[in-house]
Amino acid sequence: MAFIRNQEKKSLSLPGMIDVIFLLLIFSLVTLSTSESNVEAKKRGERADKFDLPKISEAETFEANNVLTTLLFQIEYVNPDDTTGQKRVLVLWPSAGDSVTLEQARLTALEDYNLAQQSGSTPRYAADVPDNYLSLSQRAFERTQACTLIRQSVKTYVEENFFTPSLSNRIEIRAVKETEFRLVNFIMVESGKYDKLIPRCVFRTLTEDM
Amino acid sequence: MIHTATVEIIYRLISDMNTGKIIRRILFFTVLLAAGGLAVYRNYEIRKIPYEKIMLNASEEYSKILIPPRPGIMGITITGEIIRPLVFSIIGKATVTALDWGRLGNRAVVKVTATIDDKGRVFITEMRSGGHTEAGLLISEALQTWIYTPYKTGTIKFFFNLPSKGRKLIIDTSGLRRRNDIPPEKRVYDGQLYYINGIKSTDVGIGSFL
Amino acid sequence: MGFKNIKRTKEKVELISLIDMLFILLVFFLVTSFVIRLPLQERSISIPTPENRPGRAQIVIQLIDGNTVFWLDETASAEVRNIENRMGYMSRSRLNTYIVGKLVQKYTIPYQEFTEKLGNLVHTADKNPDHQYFVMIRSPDALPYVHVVNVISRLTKTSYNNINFGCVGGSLKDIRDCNSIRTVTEVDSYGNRRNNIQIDF
Repeated sequence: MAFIRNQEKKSLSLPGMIDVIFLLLIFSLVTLSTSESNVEAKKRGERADKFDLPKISEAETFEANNVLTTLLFQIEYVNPDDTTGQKRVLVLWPSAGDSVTLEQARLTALEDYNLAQQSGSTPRYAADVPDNYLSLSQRAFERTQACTLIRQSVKTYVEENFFTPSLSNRIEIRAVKETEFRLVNFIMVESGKYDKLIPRCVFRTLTEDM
Repeated sequence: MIHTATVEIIYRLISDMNTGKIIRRILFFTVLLAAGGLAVYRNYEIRKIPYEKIMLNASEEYSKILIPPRPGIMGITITGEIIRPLVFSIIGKATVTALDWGRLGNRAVVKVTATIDDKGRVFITEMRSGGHTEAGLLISEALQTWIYTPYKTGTIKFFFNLPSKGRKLIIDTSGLRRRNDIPPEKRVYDGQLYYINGIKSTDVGIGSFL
Repeated sequence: MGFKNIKRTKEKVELISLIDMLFILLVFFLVTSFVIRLPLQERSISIPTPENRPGRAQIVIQLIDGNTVFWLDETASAEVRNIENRMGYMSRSRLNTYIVGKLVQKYTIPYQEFTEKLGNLVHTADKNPDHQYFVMIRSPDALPYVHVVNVISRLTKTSYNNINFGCVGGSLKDIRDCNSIRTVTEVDSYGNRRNNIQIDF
């Protein structure tokens, strides 16, 4: 008698497949978890890296707060899609209770700017940088609306907040990477004029984090 | 526990295979090695990442507020090289031979006049050894091997006066001049001008012959 | 009465799903072992504000444009000293022009070489933790400030944070048109005499 080997047909079992699916789920959750900036950017309704800050990969950097903790000068394009066009300086003021976010302060500054444009008055928190500012003499450049605004803002902020030299006294600059050094340098020089009250400026940058 | 379970699973898996014993053994150890290597590599990569960055919930950002010195804008002084004093002395080379003071005897009186060229080499121009030929020979053999640092050139005189109760060796350096190509602000000092074994430093005088 | 010999069936491990699971674990560990690149995050970098006093530096980096850099360090003082000794008969203004011309010719370097020099500086600073270095970065007005930030980002990556830096506005033309450029002998804080280059604008 010949025996026929009874070969069992191997088939995929359900519990094993469920195990694999759960593993895949956990794997996806861990590795594709959203980063902090992405979460906040999504709350703001925009992507974190949309503002064209300088990108640096290796540097000793510190955390940049979304909530304003000091005076911040934001230099952006008037038209975000035109990266060769005119720039605008926005003065973003923090609140006393450190509760104003960068975006809120920016919207306030833009609202004030638009209202001022309509009424013909001088905006208090924003000024356009003239296209030809690089060719202006130093005196003419310092007399532009943007520089006047920067100067007055720094002066007011120092008078109200910085009384003694301190490590934490600083002015922040958040500028698109193509901003010419002249404008950025002006902010730094103005900040440095107050003896030792403002020992440093803080630049916002984009860094690849691990 | 996970590792033992994994090994157990792999073992049982391979045991159930319908292959030869040797092949199963090879397969088992291959898989074990691969898994072990992967685990080691994973641990190595994770150790490279700072602890704060692998935490899922970053609690506090470690911030170092370091205020560096501030740049001055009124002119620049760029630090230059240190002005190191130059020492005119015998260079310690393997070809430089020491003169054995003990072999000269007690009665040797030898006057040697030599020139030092711009490479620091010694050339004997005149030797007066009187009746002390052997001492003269020993002195000239040693002196010709001496090499000085190339900071001075000119005439140097050695007066070996062993019977003397005072200085037994006088070295006259008045004929030496610093080289013209050495910048004037660099000072040239005299260092070790002789290479003699067995002589006391109190027996040596550096000055002019009478 | 015979007891039935209940033969327990040996439970076999499901081969295919187990292999799947092992491969999933393998991929998981592979991915977590490599550097995971998260989206770009906004960070801050601290830069000291300028002061209205004479500036001092060990290295002056004058950015010219995006491709060339004028790098002056302590080796330049010997060059200036040499020129002063040889050309002392010249008038001050001519000597200034001659010295600056020679320095620009010798110490203007392409950006790639500049990047290497920065790397060497960081490496040297790491090997000498007791030394403090100060680098002055000068940028012309028209150059985008991202170039300054890039230089600063390289300088901050030291193990002992012993490279200090400052950035001021200024161009190569300012150096060419300076009132005087000469060497002065000064004693540093360690008592060493040095030939320093002094540039007065």
